Amino acid sequence: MAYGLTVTNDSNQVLIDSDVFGYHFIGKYTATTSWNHTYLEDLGGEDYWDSPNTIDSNQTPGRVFEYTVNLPGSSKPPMCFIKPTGTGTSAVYTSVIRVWKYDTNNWKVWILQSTNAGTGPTLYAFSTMDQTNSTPSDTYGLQTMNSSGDVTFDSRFKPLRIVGAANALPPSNPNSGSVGSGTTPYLNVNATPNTYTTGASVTASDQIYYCPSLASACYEYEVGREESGFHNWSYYQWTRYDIWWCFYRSAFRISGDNNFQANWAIYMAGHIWKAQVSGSFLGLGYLNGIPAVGPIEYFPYSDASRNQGEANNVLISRASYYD
Amino acid sequence: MSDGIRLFNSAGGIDYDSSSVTWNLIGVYTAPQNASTSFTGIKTMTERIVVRQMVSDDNNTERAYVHTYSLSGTTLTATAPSSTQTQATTFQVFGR
Repeated sequence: MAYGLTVTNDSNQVLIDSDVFGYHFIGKYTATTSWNHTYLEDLGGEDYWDSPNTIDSNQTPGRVFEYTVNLPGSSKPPMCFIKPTGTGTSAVYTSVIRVWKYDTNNWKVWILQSTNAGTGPTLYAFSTMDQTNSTPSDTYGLQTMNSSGDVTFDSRFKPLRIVGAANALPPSNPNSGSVGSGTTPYLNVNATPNTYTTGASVTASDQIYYCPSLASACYEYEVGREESGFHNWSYYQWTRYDIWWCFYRSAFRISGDNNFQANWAIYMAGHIWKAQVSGSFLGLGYLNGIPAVGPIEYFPYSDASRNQGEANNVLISRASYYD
Repeated sequence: MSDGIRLFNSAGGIDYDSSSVTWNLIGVYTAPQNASTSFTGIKTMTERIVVRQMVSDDNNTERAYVHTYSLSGTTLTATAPSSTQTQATTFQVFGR
């Protein structure tokens, strides 16, 4: 550094560096809307079996909460820390699953919570100073600028203070064992969470965390049924084919003052079925799987995964710093 | 506190206290969708960590790949696993 300000501690760890943009608190947000993602479709055919035609209780999706974060800059997305509705080893899992620039002044953020409860987490948003238009009223504090004159640190905006970190990875699969029996799918998450030490060592209920979800997975269960017999003096053969699926995202929770857990949550659950009847003596056999179902773009039916081995660092801060 | 820095606001509250800070931002870098790229000039520190976030207005984000990466010296290399299904990825590099 030829000029500027660098503050280090006695371990030579950098605390403030005027060359780099620090993150600062820009606001606390609650969800503007939320929804439960399910998909049901009867693909037609005369149905000898009229059930099940629902989402099964063994494929229960969580709830997605949408937030609108005011941030005029477009080049760097806000850093969104989650203040969960609860902590501990029985708490729900949550994660940021989608972030995008929505309009000139706003970003949209989706958070997935592993249960369908209507109350979502609170979002603590941070941004670098070059992305905001805010003007603080306080005239005290410390401000640093880089060589271009851009503000890189401003104590009046409550700089981000990270108190813990860990490198978190969800279990390899959200669901192990049998995925179904008869007309009952077994697709709820049954994985044991991975536990990590964060070094935060502060009261869990005061912690907020940043760990965007990277991993996704899909599991499905399918079953075919066949029946035959006489009806109105004609011989009939009926078949029906069902597919149940769940789409999962990695999700996290603060399990203790010094611990963090990674697991999965169901982002979406679906069930589609198709029936067919024949009046001839010729056997139909099972339908050869469910055919293509039109404009369903992001509903994967087959078992698949993405980014499952990609660990992401979790950062821990404290809500009380910004409340 | 024996070493470090505290910054107070006009009300006497602490806005920044280095004794509770463990990681500091080095930089933010965004790799474009479906393409690999490198970023140079990244500060070296004793320890560094990287946090990734996929950024997209595409509904298909749920099925997307994230860029893999390596951070060596002053260069962050972001690699797109797929040329058609890799989302734009923001890398936040922290150090201490």
